Amino acid sequence: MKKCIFIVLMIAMSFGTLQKAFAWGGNAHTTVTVIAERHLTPEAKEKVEHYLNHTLPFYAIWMDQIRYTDPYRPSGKWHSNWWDANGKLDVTNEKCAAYQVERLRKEMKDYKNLPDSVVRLNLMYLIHLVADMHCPSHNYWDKKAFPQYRYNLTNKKGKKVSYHSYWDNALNYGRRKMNAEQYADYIDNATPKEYKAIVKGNAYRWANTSLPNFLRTFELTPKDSNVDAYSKQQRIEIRNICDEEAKKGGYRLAHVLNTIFKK
Amino acid sequence: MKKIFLALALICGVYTAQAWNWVYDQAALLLAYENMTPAAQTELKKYLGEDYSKQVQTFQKARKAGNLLESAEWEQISLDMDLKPVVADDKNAIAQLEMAVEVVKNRATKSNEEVALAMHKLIELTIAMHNVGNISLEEFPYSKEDFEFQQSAGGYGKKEKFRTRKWKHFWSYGFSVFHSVWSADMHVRELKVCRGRNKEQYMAGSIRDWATDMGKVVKPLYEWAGPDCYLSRLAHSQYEELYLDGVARASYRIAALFNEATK
Repeated sequence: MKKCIFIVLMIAMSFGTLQKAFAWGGNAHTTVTVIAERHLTPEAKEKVEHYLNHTLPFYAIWMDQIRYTDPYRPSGKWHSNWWDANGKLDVTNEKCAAYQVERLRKEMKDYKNLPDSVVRLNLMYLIHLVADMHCPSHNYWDKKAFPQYRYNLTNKKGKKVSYHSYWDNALNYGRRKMNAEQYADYIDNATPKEYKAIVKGNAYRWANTSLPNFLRTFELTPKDSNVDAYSKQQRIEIRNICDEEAKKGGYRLAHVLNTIFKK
Repeated sequence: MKKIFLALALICGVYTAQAWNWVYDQAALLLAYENMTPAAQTELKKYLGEDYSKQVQTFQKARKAGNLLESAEWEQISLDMDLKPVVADDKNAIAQLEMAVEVVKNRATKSNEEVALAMHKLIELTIAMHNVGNISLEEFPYSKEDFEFQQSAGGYGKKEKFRTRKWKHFWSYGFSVFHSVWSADMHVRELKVCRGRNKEQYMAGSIRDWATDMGKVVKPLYEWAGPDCYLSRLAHSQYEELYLDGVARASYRIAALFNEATK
């Protein structure tokens, strides 16, 4: 009987469960692109749709879909920011998301002389990487500076939950009832002055301005803490960090694209 | 024990002949509505109500409740060696759609229920006949079957993981996982951006032409796809274009059928 129930459950689960293990969750990535679309100039919107033949959200998680496949496999290492032993962003590391964003921005300055296929691919990378560099858990820390950043949390059943996976999905937990447009409506609330301040500078500056939020995650979700027992205040702060980073990601993606396709 | 098998039968019954994820169906109908003549829009709302866009997958719901069980057969289309539709009886989407067009054309002499049922057929069977999982080609006998295949679930080389999936289920739900937080409006925008330029081409022709059209789209797929075939993550991602193609064609063709039946 037990075996039978097990088989039935396994079959049922195989129908219902699909691969949802996208970094920073599909929710955050999609919302970043929805916000970005809302802040694109008409010129940038036209160019982006011309090169992509799709909307921005269509490619929100594309880099996660193909990260294990050739010929894109090397790009699988670009999804996080890298920080050195002094706690500084490693701007010389090709694996660093901020480095790749700046590399792509530089290459795209001359987009008119690039083959369309390259422009398209670069856009697909930027759409994902600008969002990923705002994900609180997408940071590789030098082990001398942060010896224990790859730790586990637990849940109420006593099962281990990795710090990385918790923060990848924190936004999904907190905003599960909203679709991407509703969530974008909720967080896309910066004044023009705030927007200007958020998009100021380059990807290196952006990573550094998010650093306090990234570091705060270790205090909010310490090693072995029970994720189901976090206080209301803790949960609010976790959600606020995700909201703030997703919003910044959206504005900065729009800024990157607007700058590339400036008239 | 009986309850367990009943639950399993229900799950299987629901999943074997579905169209697409609900939000895709809703998006297809919303986009169709945008492309209907004012007369068609009026008639659609008259018979299906102001909340017409939520009335998708009614046949599936009916089957789930044990009604209209024969409607599962209405969703299929078969194509011969020359990709001409096989319409030997009324147990297929083509015959059902042709009859439904006549009912809507002659709605003045029909009951409201008959017209509403015919309109549901125009919407849901047009969607169904553009789903790869509902199209069988004589040249590839296994295209009739809901065969199992292996799908990459991530990892690379020796670490690559696979999962067994069902072909028809994959073509109904295999892509919604990429866009699980999208609203129907986002899908509508996406369809317009990626396929809007083909609108007139899609809307031209007859139901039988459309079936042949889909046969041409699907044929290259079955050159390699069959029982126990392997689908990489990259191919999964790339086949979304084919999936979108089906949704877009269905959407514009629903509009064409309503326009034709209400002129």
